[in-house]
Amino acid sequence: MKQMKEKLLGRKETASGSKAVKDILERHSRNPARVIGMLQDIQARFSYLPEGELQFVSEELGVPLTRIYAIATFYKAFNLLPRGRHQIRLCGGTACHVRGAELVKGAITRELGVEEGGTTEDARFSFEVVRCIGCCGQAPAMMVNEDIHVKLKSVTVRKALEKYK
Amino acid sequence: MREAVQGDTVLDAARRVGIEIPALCAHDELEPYGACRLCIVEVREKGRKHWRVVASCLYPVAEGLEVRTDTERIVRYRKLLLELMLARSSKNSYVRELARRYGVKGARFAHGDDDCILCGLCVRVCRDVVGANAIDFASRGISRRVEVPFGIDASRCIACGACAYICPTDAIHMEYERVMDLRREEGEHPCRYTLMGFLSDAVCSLNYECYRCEIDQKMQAESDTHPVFLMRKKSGKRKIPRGKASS
Repeated sequence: MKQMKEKLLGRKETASGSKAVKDILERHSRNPARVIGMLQDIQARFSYLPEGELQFVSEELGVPLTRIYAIATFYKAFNLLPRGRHQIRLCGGTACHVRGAELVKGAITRELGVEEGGTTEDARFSFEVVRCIGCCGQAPAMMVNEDIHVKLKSVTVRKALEKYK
Repeated sequence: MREAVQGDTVLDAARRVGIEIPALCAHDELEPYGACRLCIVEVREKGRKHWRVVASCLYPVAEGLEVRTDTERIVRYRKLLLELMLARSSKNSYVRELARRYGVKGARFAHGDDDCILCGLCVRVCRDVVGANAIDFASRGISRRVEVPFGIDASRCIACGACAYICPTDAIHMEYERVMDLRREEGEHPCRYTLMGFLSDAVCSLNYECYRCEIDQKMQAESDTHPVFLMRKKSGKRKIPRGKASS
């Protein structure tokens, strides 16, 4: 896991207890009941939850690391591995599924060499399948960062991904 | 017939009068948890018409409460629960034995060979009795599992072995070589019985070679329980709050 992280980051993981995390703790008044909010903020800052920072939060708040790890792994919104520069969110909702989202998923996997939930080795894309992004009328759809791509086909999805470097 | 005490759960009361209700995730020294669901019974509250199915380990006794522990409906439900457990832990002898007793022959579902049934006893004993917080559940749904954070950080583990002791399906084993490694790390890691406050530091006659330790066997033979629970008894058993159960 550590090697994977360093590869994706292109550097060693930051040391724990960075200024940003201290600020986040203060913003939540160091209240252990607000751990989830803190984790959300830490993820917004780093794109994922660095191990060292979680350790730091655990020590500062007196919440066992096991507890924080349990929370961080329970919610799908949290990542323990660094994310790519661009987030692909392919819709796997009912309408998209019926209209061939599985084929699009196959095309993305082949094109980028990344499985669902993974990140490409060059850290360019992270790929996940989510449930319904609200574009059922133009299924199958996906989001890349904040852009919406609709009526996808295996061919068009490849083209759509080209412009994200 | 002895009377049930206020604050008892249905399971407590049944056990007190010698009525057997199967349960895997309940333990006298720990708060009720309601994970395994095997302890389901039918209850009818005073003045009510219908029998409801509840987990007896979480249901508080009350005046006029009627309980049925072994009806056709309950047995049917338990069989399904055991079938699911058997599907998860198809090779585990404890699960198989329990299933056999209920006449569950095999599972209609895919067979796994995980010995852990996710009852949470190890997590709870580590957190609530030992206070070490070395293990917890990670992830959820079908990938839920008991784990140390990031799969490697075991620095909080004091190697007391309470998790292995309490595990109802024998899914956790003590690795004495690794216990020794833990002790060697970070300078002199004290003996686990010292960490539990059970022994003073100076008494180990085995030169702190935990793999030769006989205290486990002695303790269990003499007291019929794990040392961590004895420590608790000495300092007075904590009154288990029943707030959760009665709400």
